[in-house]
Amino acid sequence: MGIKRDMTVDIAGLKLKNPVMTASGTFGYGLEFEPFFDIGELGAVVVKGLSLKPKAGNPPPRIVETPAGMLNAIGLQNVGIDVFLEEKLPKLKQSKATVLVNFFGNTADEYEELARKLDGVEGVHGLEVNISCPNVKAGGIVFGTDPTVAHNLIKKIREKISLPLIVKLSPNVTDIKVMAKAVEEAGADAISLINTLTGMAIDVRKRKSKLANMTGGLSGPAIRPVAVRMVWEAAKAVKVPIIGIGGMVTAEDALEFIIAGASAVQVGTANFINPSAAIDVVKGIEVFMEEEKIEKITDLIGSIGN
Amino acid sequence: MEVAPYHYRMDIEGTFDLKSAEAGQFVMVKVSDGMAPILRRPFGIYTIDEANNSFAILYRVVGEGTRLLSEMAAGVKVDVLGPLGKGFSIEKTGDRPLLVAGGVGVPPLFNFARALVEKEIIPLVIVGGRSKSDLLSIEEFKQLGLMVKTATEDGSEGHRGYVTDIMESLIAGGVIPTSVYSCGPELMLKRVGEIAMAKDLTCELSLEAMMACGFGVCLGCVIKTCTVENVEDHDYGRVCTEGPVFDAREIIWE
Repeated sequence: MGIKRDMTVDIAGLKLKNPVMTASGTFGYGLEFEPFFDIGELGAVVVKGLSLKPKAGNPPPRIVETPAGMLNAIGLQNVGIDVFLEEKLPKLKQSKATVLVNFFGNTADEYEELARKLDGVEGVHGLEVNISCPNVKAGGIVFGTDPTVAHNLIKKIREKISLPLIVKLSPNVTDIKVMAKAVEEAGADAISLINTLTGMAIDVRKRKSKLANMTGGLSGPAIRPVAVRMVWEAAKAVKVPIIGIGGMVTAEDALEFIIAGASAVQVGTANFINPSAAIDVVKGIEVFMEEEKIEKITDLIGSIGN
Repeated sequence: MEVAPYHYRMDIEGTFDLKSAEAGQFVMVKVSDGMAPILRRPFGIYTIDEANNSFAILYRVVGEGTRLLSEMAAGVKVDVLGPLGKGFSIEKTGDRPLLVAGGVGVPPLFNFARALVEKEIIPLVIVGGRSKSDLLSIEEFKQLGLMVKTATEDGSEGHRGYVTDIMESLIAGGVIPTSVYSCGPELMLKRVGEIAMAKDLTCELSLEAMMACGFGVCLGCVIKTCTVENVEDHDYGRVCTEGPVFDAREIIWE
């Protein structure tokens, strides 16, 4: 090996040792992966989305395999913020990982309450807001599909907290650039994308959906080209860092996102198949930098140009 | 290795922690290097050879994943995660457990039978299937010195009907097991649980579910559960982590 490659990136005011994170919902509360590798070696760990109260989730069947991917309708099952803070976080702190907490609410007030509860908690380094759930008060409209609704929500949260604020966008919109600009203007420090694409799979013999929830979120390599394109579009539209998510399995996949304009990436569904996927991506990026004689990972970000 | 029409046995050697493995646990096997299919497949552990650091799985070809697995050449490397999940509680069996297996539910129960025989506990075994060729491991059970009763839906072997018919007639005839362990199709498991619980017998059922990870994070493999203390306390239990073996009283069938 030659000189030490600089893999550090700055995201939302956080200095990360490398650009590789784990996507919310695919990495539990981090602790589940400790038998496989040292999670402190990742850029950051994004935990399963939390709500104010524990959430039981959807009835089964909740997942179905599809070509190069899977559909899931877990229904945001989680232990709730209180159990997370009391039971999960103390253990997670020992791992020395940079911890980003993903959270969601049914109303803007719930989002705000969660953000305030998490702000200033030792061991929570940043927040990732999931705006892909329906806004109960606005008649079920998804927070993440209406730029005005999203803007107002993020502004409301931003004003109340000092922690780095990442907003996770849904790809189920006509123009991702509009959504990205809306949340940037509202004060987001970084934007992560994409969440899953809404999909459906049918059992033709039973004439029924393969999911009890009818529809689910498509993830895995099948969505990667869509995700890379959206990251590229969003990165051109805003100045805040973009965190690329969507079906990456290998370091090469992750590099596509970085070259398209992402300052960091999140490994998602691949964690299910290979529990060491995220750390393998870190190692693979390092090898790539060595081979390509790239000193700083930041030199690669957006290197595809406009 | 094809052991019966559509049924294959695969022996896997590697650095697994087989010493602490419980009968009833499973492994997640990557059946292809690529994306088709992308997810691992769960298989109950059929038998363990600790001396050679190997174990076997026994499965029926039902789809693309199991077909690819059956076509693998001997000696190739295979990516396996495990042992995973919670197995049967061997300390609760009493001296006369009953094992009820349906179709491809045989493997974990055969492994359990081996463990019981090692402890000098002699279980009674009932194996069922649609037809004679679906009855797995009958000879292997007999080689352990166990009595095996069989049922087939088409009557081609043993009792014509279901394993639960045999279970009920045994109990009606005064042959009351100390505990019941079962693995197989859902409808069968539900009935086994009902019969056992009506007699207040310890009963554990091993379930199957679609799962993406196998180690508790995808939350895709849940079933509706309750606690033994409070049947109204509904929750979703992960088949991969809280199971695949559940106390029959904890399962809410839908």
